[in-house]
Amino acid sequence: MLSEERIELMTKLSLFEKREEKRYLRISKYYRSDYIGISLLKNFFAVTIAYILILALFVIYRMDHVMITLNELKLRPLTFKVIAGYLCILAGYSVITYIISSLRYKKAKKSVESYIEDLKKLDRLYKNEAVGTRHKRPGGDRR
Amino acid sequence: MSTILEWKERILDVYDDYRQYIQLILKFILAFIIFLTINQQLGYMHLINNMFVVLIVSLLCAILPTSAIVVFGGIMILLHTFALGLEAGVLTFVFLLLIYLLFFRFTPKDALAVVITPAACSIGIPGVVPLVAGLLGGPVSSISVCIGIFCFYYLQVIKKVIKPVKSAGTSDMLENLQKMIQGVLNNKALLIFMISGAAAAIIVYAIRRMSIKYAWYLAIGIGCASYIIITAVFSGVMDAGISIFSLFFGTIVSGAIALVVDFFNFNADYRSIENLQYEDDSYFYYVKAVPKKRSDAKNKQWKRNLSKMNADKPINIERHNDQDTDTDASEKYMDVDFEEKLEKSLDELK
Repeated sequence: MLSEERIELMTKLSLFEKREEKRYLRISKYYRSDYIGISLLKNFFAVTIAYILILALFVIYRMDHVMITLNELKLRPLTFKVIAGYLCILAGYSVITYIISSLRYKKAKKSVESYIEDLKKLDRLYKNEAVGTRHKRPGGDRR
Repeated sequence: MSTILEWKERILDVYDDYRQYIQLILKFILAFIIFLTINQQLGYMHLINNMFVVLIVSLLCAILPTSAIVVFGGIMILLHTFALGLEAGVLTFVFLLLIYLLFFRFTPKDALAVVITPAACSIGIPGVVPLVAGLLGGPVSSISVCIGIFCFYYLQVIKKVIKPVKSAGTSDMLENLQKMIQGVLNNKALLIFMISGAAAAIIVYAIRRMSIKYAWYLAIGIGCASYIIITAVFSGVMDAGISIFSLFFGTIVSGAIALVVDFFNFNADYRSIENLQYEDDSYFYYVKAVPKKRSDAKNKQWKRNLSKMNADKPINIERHNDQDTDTDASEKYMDVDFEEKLEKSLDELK
């Protein structure tokens, strides 16, 4: 027999799976430290690539200035500036990534917990229905 | 006012009923306008500068998720710039990659602002994006607004710098790249609109979150005023040559669009505010409840529902009466000594 409560619950669950499966269910499969670690690793590569690109654009734009600096062999201050800039950007973006990934993980965990709760509820409803049908005699309750 | 509210409710009802189809149409229109603007702005590759291609890509975007508009828009810009020259294409690719790596990894939902802003700028209403971003988004949306403005002025720079160079037949790639970067960095209008756009988005967001009467209207009004003032002041100081008339007119139109957005998204009835105060074990609560504006028909329906709910209450009262009869029964047997009766019946059993 159709159960309105069960259908409502199943719709809610399938909507969650459709909308949030990619994000929340995938995130909740990781431990918190693993998820944040992976995010920081991705951030490291992204920031490194972005910094190389910015550096390349700067070199193209100030080609004359860079060539003069290289000719004067002022490599140490130049290298220091480049590395210091990289570390500053990496540190800044790592902090932002840490905060955002922590918040995302917390949100994902919370919504997946309520999803699991609903799944358990659905399971209970199925079990109750199964018990109900087992007690029924074939041909109804007439003796 | 009631008629307008009725119309709004009807529109929302129709939207609810045909949500899937309406979303498809809206996505198609949005993609069509954006791609058409990109083609008008650049249009160097004849293969994609074609109405038939724009229609097909827009139809594809209508079926795909909204982010597809951003992807296709980016691809179209890239193809046009590569058609103009290798250096222009490479620089565009580098800028788009930087935008993704540094910003849209964190807020992929805001990426739509990047393609909408150039379209809004080319229509002459650049203020609409910061205003709507402030109303519907968060403070982070101001970054998306800045990137959108950057994209629009970058395309302008390409048109101004590279096209004449290419027409003249100069092929010094390094010089062309330097000119383009210089054109972007020295563009005063770009800087001014980025500052005023970000400021307007943050101001609108901050005011509409306040617990004050007519917060959304105030946010739109102050957002428009601050956008005009900041742009005009910076334009005067930096001598950027921004037309104040078009800025003023464009911002007024943007404000009107923002009011429409407000009408469909918020629309609170500030005349019937209720201030409540209560407490629990840990806190004192001072709550301001602002009802939503409703048409007369909806109000009547709501009152009917309320009276129906009240009519259902006697059931609870009856249940309560049942409990009363139980207590009456217990009072009735108060005099009976059950212990004695139990002993008697046990004796009889023996």
